[in-house]
Amino acid sequence: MIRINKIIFKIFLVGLTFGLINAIIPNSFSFFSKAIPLENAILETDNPVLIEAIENVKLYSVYNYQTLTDAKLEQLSTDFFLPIAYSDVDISWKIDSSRISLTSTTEYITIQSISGEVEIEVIYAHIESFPTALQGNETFYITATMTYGSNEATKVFVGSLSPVIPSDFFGGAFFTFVRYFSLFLEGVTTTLGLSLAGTVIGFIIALGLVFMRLDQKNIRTTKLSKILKRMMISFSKFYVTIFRGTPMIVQAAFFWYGLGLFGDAMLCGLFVVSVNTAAYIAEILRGGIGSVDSGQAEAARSLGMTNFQSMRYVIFPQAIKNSMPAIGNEFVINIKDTSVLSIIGIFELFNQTRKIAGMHYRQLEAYFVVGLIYLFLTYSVTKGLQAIEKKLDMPVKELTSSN
Amino acid sequence: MEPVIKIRDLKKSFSNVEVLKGINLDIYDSEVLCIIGSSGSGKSTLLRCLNLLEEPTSGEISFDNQNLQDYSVDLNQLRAKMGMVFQSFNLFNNMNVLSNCTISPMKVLHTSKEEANKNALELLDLVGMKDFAYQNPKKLSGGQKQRVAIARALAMNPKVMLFDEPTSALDPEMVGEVLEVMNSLAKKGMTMIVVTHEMGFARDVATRVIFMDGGVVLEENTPKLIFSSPKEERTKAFLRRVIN
Repeated sequence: MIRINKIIFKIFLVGLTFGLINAIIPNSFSFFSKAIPLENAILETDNPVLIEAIENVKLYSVYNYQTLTDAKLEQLSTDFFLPIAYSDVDISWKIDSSRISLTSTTEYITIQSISGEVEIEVIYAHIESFPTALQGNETFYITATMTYGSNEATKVFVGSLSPVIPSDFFGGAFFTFVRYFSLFLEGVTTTLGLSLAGTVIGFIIALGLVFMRLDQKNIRTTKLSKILKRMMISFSKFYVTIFRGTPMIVQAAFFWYGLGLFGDAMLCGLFVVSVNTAAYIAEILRGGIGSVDSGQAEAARSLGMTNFQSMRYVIFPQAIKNSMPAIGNEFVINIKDTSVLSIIGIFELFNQTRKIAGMHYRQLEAYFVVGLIYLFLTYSVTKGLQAIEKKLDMPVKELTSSN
Repeated sequence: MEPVIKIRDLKKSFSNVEVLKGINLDIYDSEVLCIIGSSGSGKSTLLRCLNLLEEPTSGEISFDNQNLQDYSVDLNQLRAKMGMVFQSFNLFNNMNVLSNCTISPMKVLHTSKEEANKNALELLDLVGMKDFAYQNPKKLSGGQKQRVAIARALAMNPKVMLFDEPTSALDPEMVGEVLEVMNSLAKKGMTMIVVTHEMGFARDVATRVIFMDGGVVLEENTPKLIFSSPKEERTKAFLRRVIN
């Protein structure tokens, strides 16, 4: 059990590192997605007839006899026709992929061209199989050798076969996970970065809120400082009431669509998570301070410490220790709750999944996969925090319900 | 001789309950003053008013020729000169024994770390807790905690030590070790004000005993006289009850 915890803890640390790096340098993990060379290679010739042929020879889709554009070739999913001649130029074809076979017989198809309908003689290229999600995109080359009298030229078409999503649920889920791993990972890093940074910044804001809220232990205070204190307490209470009393989704919409804060959705999102978490952590810290025996403060003051010193050296370290598990929970809660930031257009994990779900119109599989990812994140972070708490001899609490 | 602490007509009320109803008391250098009396008689409140953990409602306290009611007096500097030992020890739970004794000298008196450590270890040696210097206070017994608390208060090099029922929360077996430390302090000439239920200690160590009842000092005398021939009926009744 201890070993499993250790492994989960390590995974958690790795994830955290990824998240932090990605939060600092966006898209730093783009090497996970492969780049595909797309430009069609042409072997040069100076024969004008051949040049014309090279420029005009095209591939045709089997469904509507329409030209296969570069974009379609890039993600080829249908069978296609290859013309065996262009005016007086003979063309012979070769494909280097074992997944695509060429028929030896020819047939005639009618295509639309600028000069109206034209009948051309073609051979049929059939896609026998598609690569699996694990194999990823497979690039293939189609070489057209053109002969005109004694002149010869070559044109190379570059295409790519994309994996096709299996129709069954588990196959589809596995496909979604593997195929869009890098997209999920981007979402995970954004989510982790937002929730971690949000919790840390929220904690700092919460410190300020709590110090505003603290009772004035000093018995000798001026009237002005009493009024000031009362104002600070009111503000702190007001802040907590507002941010705990309204949904984060409303706060996000208010600050982004309403105020356009920072002019950057990501920064605005981070702001929303931070100020929201601050309200909760402030209450946690207040509870933590309240749970420290009042005798501690009395002893500190009897030794001549100022209010601040007694707070700084005696009360606060104990309060933090008491509240650490609950603050860790806030981090876990944030991992889940940052999903509402999808409404202001941040591509965190949930929004990323919506994008993925739309690619094959397979909602069930995509949301199932993202559910598992969220579960993995919250579980491993919880275990990781528990390990830290155990190490620091803090009271370990179970995950509390979400806010 | 000028008293170290001068208390004149000290009154203290909590909301509308008057706990101290006019206390007049002088405490002199090297004196060991024991305050006895039943619960609720205002003993602890009196002690807490002395270092202003409670603000007196009216009256006058002067300590070291400074009037405590004077707003220009630095409360923290003043408290630093009065060590206080609590019934519930109140050792700082987030520090080890040594740090408990060095934190306030370093932060309040700005003593260097080396000096504070050296001084604290000497004091811990004095109370017989040197071997526990790096222990967590939570792991100590009550008597050990209270001895550390005494060392912590002494580390500020106070002029006066205030003891608020230092042995009341202890097992009977541990009372002795704490009283022994207090006894040795008294012998060294420390000015001490002790609120206690330990009549034996009051009799043997105190130079003066006061009996408080209902917020006033009812009787004041040398321990010998107050225990052998108390004047007031209330004192007699109390002593009869406590000693038997």
